[in-house]
Amino acid sequence: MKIAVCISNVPDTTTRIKTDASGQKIDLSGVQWILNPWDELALTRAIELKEQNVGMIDEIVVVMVAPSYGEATLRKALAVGADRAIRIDNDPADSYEAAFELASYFADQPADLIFTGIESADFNGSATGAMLSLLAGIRFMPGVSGVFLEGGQTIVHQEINGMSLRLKVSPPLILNVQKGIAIVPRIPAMRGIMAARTKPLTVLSPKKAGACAQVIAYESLPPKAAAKMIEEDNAAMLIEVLHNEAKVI
Amino acid sequence: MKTFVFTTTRDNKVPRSFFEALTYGGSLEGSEIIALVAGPLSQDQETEMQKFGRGQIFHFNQALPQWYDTFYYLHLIQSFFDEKGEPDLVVLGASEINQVLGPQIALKLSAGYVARVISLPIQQAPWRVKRYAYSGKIISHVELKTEKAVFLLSANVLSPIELGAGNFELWNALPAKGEGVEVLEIKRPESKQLLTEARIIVSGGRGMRGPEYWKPLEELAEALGGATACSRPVSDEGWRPHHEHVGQTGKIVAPDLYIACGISGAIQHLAGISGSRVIVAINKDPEAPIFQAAHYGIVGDVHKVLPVLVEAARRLK
Ligand SMILES: Cc1cc2nc3c(=O)[nH]c(=O)nc-3n(C[C@H](O)[C@H](O)[C@H](O)COP(=O)(O)OP(=O)(O)OC[C@H]3O[C@@H](n4cnc5c(N)ncnc54)[C@H](O)[C@@H]3O)c2cc1C
Repeated sequence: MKIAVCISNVPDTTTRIKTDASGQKIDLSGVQWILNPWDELALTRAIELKEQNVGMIDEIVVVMVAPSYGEATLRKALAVGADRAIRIDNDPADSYEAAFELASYFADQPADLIFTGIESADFNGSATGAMLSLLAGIRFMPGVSGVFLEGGQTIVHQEINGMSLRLKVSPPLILNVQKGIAIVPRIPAMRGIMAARTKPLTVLSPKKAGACAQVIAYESLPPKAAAKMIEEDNAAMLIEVLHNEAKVI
Repeated sequence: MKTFVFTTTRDNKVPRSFFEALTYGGSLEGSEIIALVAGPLSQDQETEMQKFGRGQIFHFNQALPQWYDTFYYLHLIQSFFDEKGEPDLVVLGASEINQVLGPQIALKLSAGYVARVISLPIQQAPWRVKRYAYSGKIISHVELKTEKAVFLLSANVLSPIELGAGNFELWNALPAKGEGVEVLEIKRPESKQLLTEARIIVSGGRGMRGPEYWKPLEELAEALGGATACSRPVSDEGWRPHHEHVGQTGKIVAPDLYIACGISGAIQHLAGISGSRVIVAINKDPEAPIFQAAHYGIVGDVHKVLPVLVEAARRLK
């Protein structure tokens, strides 16, 4: 069995986001790049599956659509435990462009389980997995909060719209993972970092389908007035204010 | 311009996000609404539909699949388009189901897709809208290169307006199910309200000290008719169930009122609550970043403050 984890390269979640002088681009200088948090958890789960089901999983491939600066993040994924990495050399402007590149790749290099994260921490498009599924013609499992292997079958935990289900389904699948898929992300150990240097990282040329959407400008959030403070000894006032002034209760 | 709006029902009800989407679609010039509601509805919901409705609303009155079968929904919507014609614009209210369907409908229609839309279009040809990016840290203006558009709205960006101009009728189709999936078990969480749809949320962080201290927080939520939520470490520690985790890696919520109890206000937590209309912070540390995001604040001990709030909230009712 082969597992692929689609990885997005995003600014660290604590990054202060500001635009450059043009106001039309994010100023990326000094940004620390990380594995998108959900993709990191998906990769963690893929590695756990490989460890728990000895001999069943032949390889874990991480796939990223990104310019060359994404390679440091791919190397980190290799250090954590992926076996090989693919970078498709494109800087996608929207989810469609990313999904198209991934679909072309998987048409050529199929995998049994393909993990995608529910959202990327940069554009928050939350669309790549769903589009990939339709483009590649592979069954889509949204809201995946757990995955287990049992004799050729995949047991998937799906949490969506207030329902929590346990499903049995056979690969190939695209698993769109969310909270719960793994709890603590794996971090690279020294041995992993050494090993990552020699693991294959292949760069593929893009298909360039073109984007459907593009960001043409950015705008800062409107400023917020300081909070109105209420004394601890007078806490009941809060309820009154929420009722009479804010009118939310 | 034909504008399609879609929702599934839950507990025989239509979510508020559907009326938000109808209101959005109905506010656009030259827009003609054609909507589809899939799933069973209770009687009183038809009155709601008449109140907030506009355009033509069709009701597919069949029980929906137990699991989230994307094939089923896409097939249903495709059948609808085949019969009623393809729309020029699709407006979807914020829901976990629409979040999955939106991108796929966009592909079917060769339309551009924008999620987390927070404004009416700045212009219609080409389409230009505002949305949040970088987990709510900045607003981006997105322009589509396609003629058709699919917009997934952020929750609570506009209030449904009563028009009472809707025409509500039944519509039927032969559904097709995705094969090869066996449902082993179905569970429903105890809370009936979805966090993503709750109007009031009372949320606890590590400052609550432990799961045994949650009672007053739950009582406050109950007195206000709200739902309970928590920060990530709280759910990671197993103090509260995972589905209560709010933030960048949990649920994105947008209630009218979010009360943060013993939550420091880390940037990843704020990413999940910035769409809230009113944020209240209760924290013993006056320097806690949550106060920067809050509209009202109490510097104090949650264990002292919460019981007082519960009593006051009960008196209000
Ligand atoms: C990639 C990534 C993703 C993350 N995603 C999320 C996410 O989705 N959601 C999330 O919440 N976090 C997330 N985090 C974690 C986040 O960085 C914070 O660690 C977390 O939000 C802190 O939770 P907390 O506020 O409950 O706890 P703390 O930061 O420990 O804060 C506890 C607060 O309680 C106050 N307090 C203590 N005792 C009392 C008392 N008796 N009365 C009143 N106040 C008291 C303290 O002053 C303090 O401000 C993420 C982190 C990373 C790296």
